[in-house]
Amino acid sequence: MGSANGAATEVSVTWRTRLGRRPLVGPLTTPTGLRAASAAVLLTTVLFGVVAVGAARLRQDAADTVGLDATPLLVGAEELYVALADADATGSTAFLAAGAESPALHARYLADIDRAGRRLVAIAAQDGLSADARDAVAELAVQLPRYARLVEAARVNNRLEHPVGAAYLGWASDLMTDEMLPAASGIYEEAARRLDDGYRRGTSGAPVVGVLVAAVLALALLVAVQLFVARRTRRLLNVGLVGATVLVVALLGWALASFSAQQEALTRSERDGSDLLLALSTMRILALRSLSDENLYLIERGTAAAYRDDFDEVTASITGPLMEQARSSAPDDATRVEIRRIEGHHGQFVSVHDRVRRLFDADGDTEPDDYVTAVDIAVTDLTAAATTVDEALATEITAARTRLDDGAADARHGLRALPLVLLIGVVTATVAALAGVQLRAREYR
Amino acid sequence: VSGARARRVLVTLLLAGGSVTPVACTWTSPSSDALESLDELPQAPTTVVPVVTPDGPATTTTVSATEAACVDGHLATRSYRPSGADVPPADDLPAGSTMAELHDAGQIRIGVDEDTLGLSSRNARTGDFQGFEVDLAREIAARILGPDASPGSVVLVPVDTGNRKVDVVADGVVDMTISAISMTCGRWEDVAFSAEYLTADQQFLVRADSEIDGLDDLAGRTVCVTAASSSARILPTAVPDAVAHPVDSRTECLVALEEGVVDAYFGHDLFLYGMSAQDPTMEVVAGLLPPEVSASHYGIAIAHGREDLVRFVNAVLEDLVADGTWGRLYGRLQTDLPELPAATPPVPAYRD
Repeated sequence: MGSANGAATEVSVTWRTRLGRRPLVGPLTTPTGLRAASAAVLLTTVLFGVVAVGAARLRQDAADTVGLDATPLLVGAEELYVALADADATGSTAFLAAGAESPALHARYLADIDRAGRRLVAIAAQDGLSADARDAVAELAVQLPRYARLVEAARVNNRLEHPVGAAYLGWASDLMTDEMLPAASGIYEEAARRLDDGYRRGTSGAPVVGVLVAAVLALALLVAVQLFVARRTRRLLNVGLVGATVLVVALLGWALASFSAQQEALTRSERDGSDLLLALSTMRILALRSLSDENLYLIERGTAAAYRDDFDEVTASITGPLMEQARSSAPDDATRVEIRRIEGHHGQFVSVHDRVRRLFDADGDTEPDDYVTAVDIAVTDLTAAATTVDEALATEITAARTRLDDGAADARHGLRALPLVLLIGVVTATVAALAGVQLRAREYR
Repeated sequence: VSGARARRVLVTLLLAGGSVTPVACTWTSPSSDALESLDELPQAPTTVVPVVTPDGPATTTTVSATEAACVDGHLATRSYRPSGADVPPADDLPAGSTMAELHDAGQIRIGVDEDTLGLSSRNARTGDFQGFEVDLAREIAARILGPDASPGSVVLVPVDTGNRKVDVVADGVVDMTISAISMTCGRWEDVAFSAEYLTADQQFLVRADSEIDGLDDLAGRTVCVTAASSSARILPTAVPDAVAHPVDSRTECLVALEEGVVDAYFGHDLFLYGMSAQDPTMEVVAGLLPPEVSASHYGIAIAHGREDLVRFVNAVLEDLVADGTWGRLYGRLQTDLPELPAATPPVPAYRD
């Protein structure tokens, strides 16, 4: 009788609950409800912890890609390309200048080859290179000594005044332009893609949204459990659950602040460093190419219009979009001054080129003797102007890289403590919440 | 993101780098359109050449390419006869003529090779062009510009081997090309030629230790030829079992031989002696092909429509032979190429 009565009471309680007075209870006895609450709290807080740590890992990984992976690869590939292109430009200048070999030019060539070798080894030592990049590195490792050997054969034959020297130089130059420079630019492009990818992943909002959703879920559950416990046990506050709630809120705040700081640092790295670095290093590569174009146009006595057109096209890119890009991505006045200086140096280079072009252009009215003067200016003033441009660009590239690295390092360091804090915090919150619930559950034994 | 834009710009620019088509000589070689050029060459030698009716086998005869009449009915080696017995002096050139025009402009552009030792090469130390063809170019230019013209008024333009040395004449880039061009019917379609100024013979250059003595030894071997040259055309018929390795400039074949990429170079004896002079470990193997196959007749290429200039140049050539200049220049060539046999000036042949 008593038991039937009890069952009837419980049923009526359940029905009253169903009708909305106690919406969070359901057809549960209080101890069962508390056990379910414990499990749900455990699940959601752990879920929050896992999602937050995962998001931190993702962001950290992206920042690592930018700072430790893509940037060194990008700068290494740029320096490799510049060293190789400069060796080739030096070769064409020496060919154009004729006469006894210039010790300065030869020293520059040797320095270029040394630099290329060192860069190549540094790139090869990088982790996570794609199969294509590895192939490119291997190809360059095979071809660099081959290139140097062909240049040496050219030198020896030139000293003996054998025309075959020029053919050796031509082979060397073909090897450089047809195979080596494309391989180097392939590595550069991969690095640029990875950098882009790192910035994209590092500033993507998806992981933060995930953290927010998980946190809201955990908090909602904690609040619900507290309401349930409060109504069932007639105690207003459960210290364990309140502590856990406060802790989750604090953890969420910390995580959001860390993500925001990391994102800001990475954005700063991209805006102040990467954009400028890419604009400047592209300029540097193209400026070297325009010098080679000028040399080759003269070597061909103006019959190869492709070189003249390429010079004009490349120069228009430098003075137009790339300079604009550099100006707009300069982070401060000091950098803007430096970019104006580079612009000035390049303007000087172009005006020397204009002198050469006025003296010698196959389409224009050229006095025959002017060719000799044009060549003379090309191998002296023009080469010197190109060197000034190159050096100024190299200095600013280093500065841009420092800003890029600083931002990327801040981004990486800002997230370093987060996973540990999350781990401790989530474990503590979970334990506190479970302990709080358990305390009440024990009363029903 | 502006960074992404910069990267795209860069990638585009770097990739565009591959599209600069080098048209150069030794310095850079264009990505070879060798095979395409080969198709444009005139008929193979010692083949059946239609003389009158293109499709009638009954009226054909077997002759060497240089002896075959072209579509216009003339032999490729026959040029336009000089107008008068004497060459008019530079200060009294016929009014309105091409020569007077060039004289008044004070500049002549002449295409020459830059890497063929002996005929025409660019001295790596001085940067100057030198050789038989350069001397000839200066002699002809002096007759037009006068003895007082500045040295720079003769603009020597390095022209590639292959069809380009003819194309630059047809396109008006240069006034004439003197660059070991074998006169053929196919080339006559693009340009006119002077009378023959030098005769060459096609031979093989091999490494002295290579044990290649006869055509049989060349079976299965790789043989270097310059693309779109008469040698490239003759090789498959003369040595069908050899593997042709076409390159863009003659001296590249010496590099290919020295580097072990090829086993032999098939080219004119005049080039070969220039190469063995640069590398004594190379050897010229002569006399493997019958002369009617291997003989090449060099003419100076001048644009169609400048017939007066062709006639003038032919008069100058006759003059240079008569006054002993030709003999003197050939003697100098023999000094540069010690193995080159003695020769007499080619006898000019005219079509009118």
